[in-house]
Amino acid sequence: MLIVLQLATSFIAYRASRNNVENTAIENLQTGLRVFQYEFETHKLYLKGAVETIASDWAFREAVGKSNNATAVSVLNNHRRRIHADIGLYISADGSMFNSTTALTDEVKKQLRGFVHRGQSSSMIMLLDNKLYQFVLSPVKAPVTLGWVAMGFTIDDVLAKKLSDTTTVGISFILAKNNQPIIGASSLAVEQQQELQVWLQQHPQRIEQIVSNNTAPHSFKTEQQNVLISGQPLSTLESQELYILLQKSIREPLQQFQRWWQNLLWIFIILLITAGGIAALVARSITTPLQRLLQAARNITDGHYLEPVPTEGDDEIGALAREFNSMQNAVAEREKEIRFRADHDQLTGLLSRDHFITRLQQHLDQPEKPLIAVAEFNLNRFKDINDTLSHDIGDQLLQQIAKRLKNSFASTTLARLGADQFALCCAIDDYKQLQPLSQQINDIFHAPFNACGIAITLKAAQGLALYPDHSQQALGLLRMAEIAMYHAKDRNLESSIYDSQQDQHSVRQLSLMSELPNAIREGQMQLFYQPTLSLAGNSPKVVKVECLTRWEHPQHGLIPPDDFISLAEQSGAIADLTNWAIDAALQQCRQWRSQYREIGVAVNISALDLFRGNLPKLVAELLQKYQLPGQLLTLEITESEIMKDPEHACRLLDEIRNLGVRLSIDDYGTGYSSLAQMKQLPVDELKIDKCFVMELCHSPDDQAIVRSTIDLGHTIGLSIVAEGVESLDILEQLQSKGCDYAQGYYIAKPLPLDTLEQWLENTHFEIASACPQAIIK
Amino acid sequence: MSKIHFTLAAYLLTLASSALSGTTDIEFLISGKDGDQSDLTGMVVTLQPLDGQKIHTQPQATEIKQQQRQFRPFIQVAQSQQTVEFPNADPVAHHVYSFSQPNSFELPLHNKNNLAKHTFSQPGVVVLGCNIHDWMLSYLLVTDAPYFGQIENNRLQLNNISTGRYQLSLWHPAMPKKEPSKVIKLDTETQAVKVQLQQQLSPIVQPAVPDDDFDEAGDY
Repeated sequence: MLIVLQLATSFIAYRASRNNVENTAIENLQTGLRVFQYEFETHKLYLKGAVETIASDWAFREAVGKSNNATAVSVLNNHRRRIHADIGLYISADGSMFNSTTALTDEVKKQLRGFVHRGQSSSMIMLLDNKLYQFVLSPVKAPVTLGWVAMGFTIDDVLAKKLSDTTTVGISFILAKNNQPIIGASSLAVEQQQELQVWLQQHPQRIEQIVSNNTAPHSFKTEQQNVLISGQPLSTLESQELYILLQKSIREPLQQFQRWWQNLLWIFIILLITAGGIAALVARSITTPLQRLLQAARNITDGHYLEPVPTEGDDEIGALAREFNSMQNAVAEREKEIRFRADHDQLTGLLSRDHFITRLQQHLDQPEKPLIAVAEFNLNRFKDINDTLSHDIGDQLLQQIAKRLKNSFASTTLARLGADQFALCCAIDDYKQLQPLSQQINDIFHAPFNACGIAITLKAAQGLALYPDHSQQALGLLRMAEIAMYHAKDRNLESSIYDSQQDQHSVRQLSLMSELPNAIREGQMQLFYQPTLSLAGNSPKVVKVECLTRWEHPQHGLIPPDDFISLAEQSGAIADLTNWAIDAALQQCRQWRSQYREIGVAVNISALDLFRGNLPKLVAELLQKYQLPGQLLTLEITESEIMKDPEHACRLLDEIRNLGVRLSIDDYGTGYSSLAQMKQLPVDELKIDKCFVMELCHSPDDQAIVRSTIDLGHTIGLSIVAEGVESLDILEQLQSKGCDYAQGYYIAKPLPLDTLEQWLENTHFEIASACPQAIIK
Repeated sequence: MSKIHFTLAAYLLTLASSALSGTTDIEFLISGKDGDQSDLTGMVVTLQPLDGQKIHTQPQATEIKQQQRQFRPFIQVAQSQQTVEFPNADPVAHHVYSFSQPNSFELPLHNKNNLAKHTFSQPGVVVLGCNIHDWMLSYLLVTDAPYFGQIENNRLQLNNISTGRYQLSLWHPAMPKKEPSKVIKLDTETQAVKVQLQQQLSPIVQPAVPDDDFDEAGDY
């Protein structure tokens, strides 16, 4: 930019200076013109004075007045010589007589006569013998004007040179006859005269142009010369014009100017280089450190502030650099602090959740030992403690837990994941070390905690997950540990190791959950039927089937109910599922009835279905839809489900029972029921869980339980169904104990419809049949 | 005797003589050309006898004074072969000259004390100047006519002129060209002759002395 500025400045300066030179030349020319005019006038005056002196000379007057021609001519000559004139002549007052030292042309005589008659002016320029003469006339008075004496002075190069010397411009007298200009006299050198002549003859109107405008001289350039030309007319003779041209060479000034300009240019270049050099030096001492600082600033922005900036120098740059460094340190310190806060839990000083995950991942990336255990444990009923004793005490407790953890697990990665949730990860050599680890955690809660003088015992539920068995990702491990922990919590265990079965939250599960409603609509659900035998009478009879929902998933294939039932319960799709199941079961029942088979259908329902409230209404509608008596439908519900809210269950079950539908308690013996409650419930049958039935032949305990259950049930008026009949022996045993119904793999496992049909065809068991009349009804 | 008597006697005598010899007194009345207002003062009238009349006048001497650095009078007439005096009344010398042919002459520098005179032999116009005082100018008509005079107030009285025929010529330096002469017959009864100029006069004036021409030593 500096260069551009300089160039612009120098260009302007150049033009200005050059104009100056030209203007000076023009001024010189104009001055020359004025000087010429003055000089010429003065010259004329001088000549005039000389001629006047002659004209008033007594002797001259006497000689001319009285004498003959010869004397007159000799006197003219004499006096002509006195004043160095070239021609002397005398013309009488009436113009009739001429005496001249040189022969005069008629042209000249005519002009002189004209002059005399006019009686004006005192000089004229005339051409005689192709030479220019300036004639100065003066009246000869003796005492009246007898005539005029005229002295002629040649206008030649000498005169031109003399004039040129005083005016400092080149002088040329130009005669233009018929527009053909020729140089009469000139102060110029011969070559220059020739050039000028040629130039004028090329463009004859140039002269007119030149003399008409004095203020703007013309420019005339040749190889030899570069001049400005100005001029003015001198006189008009009969048939020709006389001009004077003045010229001033601007070559010399221009050359001088060029030289000056070149010098200036050199100076300018040198200055530029010097300035550039100095600027570079200065720049280096300032901009380089500044750039270093700039780079350091960028580094800080990017997050790297470990490298201090070099800080040499006592000047401001050095001071700036030092300050910069301290700033860098301060930023680093603050970031460390912030990072610490982000990475650690404020209250306990343990790692934060995110940081724990990061650290865990680091361990996983480079495991020190073959297994890495992740334990997550959650305090039981901590919310109660917080609410009862205040948050302050709760915080103290947490801090104490943390302290105990740190003491116990010196080198383990410890974290506080949430309010009352802690985690640790530990590398172990083999599975045997898992249990001690878990125990170590438990031991922390062994001794009571002391808060404000109150001794509080805390308990926690642990979940454990292992790398690489369960997951190879930190997040996965943590999640699995959490699942295991919830599992432990649910089952009131102290600890639990992750098992994929526990995982209700796997991705697959989630997707299934969302697909479920659609699946029901699209008919991916299928009922499998497990026949139940009635053991009454001599020969067992197929009286009903238990309807089990199976999901024929397009991708995953057959999905067992264990997987999706809980999903359905969570997602609320259980209602649709149960509705569908009951609907499909009744539909099939209807089908069989039309085939004269009186096979009842049993459908499992959950507490959610029950407590939903509209189940009785639905059942009623479906029974109506398929025109079936309620007795053909059995609803099975697990013992533990009912016990969630026995009273409410009671009412609802009553309603259903009123429809004639039978109610069955599933998995009896595995839940938390009391006999008193059993007595209250409007159920029709109990289903003994298979765990009691499967080993019936070999386990006296099981035998006792089964027998007593059967008796008990009969006493209250319930039928008993035994699940898990896996052999003929068991069947016979049950029969001998008086069990009413049997169900199990020995008889058949849950079968799809067509397989069931086949089984029904081939089985040696009887099949309950329907009376035709019943159907019509 | 009283003056009246004398005058009467002279008059009667003149009359008698004129009657005897046939002389008369003429008044010449000259007027300019129609519309010409020029001053005719100084115009010279000459009478050249044509019949060989007797001349009754005597040649007179004339003078042209140099007074106050001017010629006085401006226009003068003199007879040829008569002496013309040029008295210098000025404190400075004058160098009177004329180049008029055939009467060119010069009176070299003369001052008050030297009385210069010259006789002009030929009739003609003589233009006079002073060599050292360029403005000084006067005109002199040298005539060989016996009778001549100068007009004043457009009149000239000439007495004792013989009767007979004369050639009347008029001359004034302001005349661009020669005024044609008239032949007149004079008899005893002729009392006046009226002449009207046939040409208009050019303006002419005696050049004045320059303002700055003075000398400290003068006694003006």
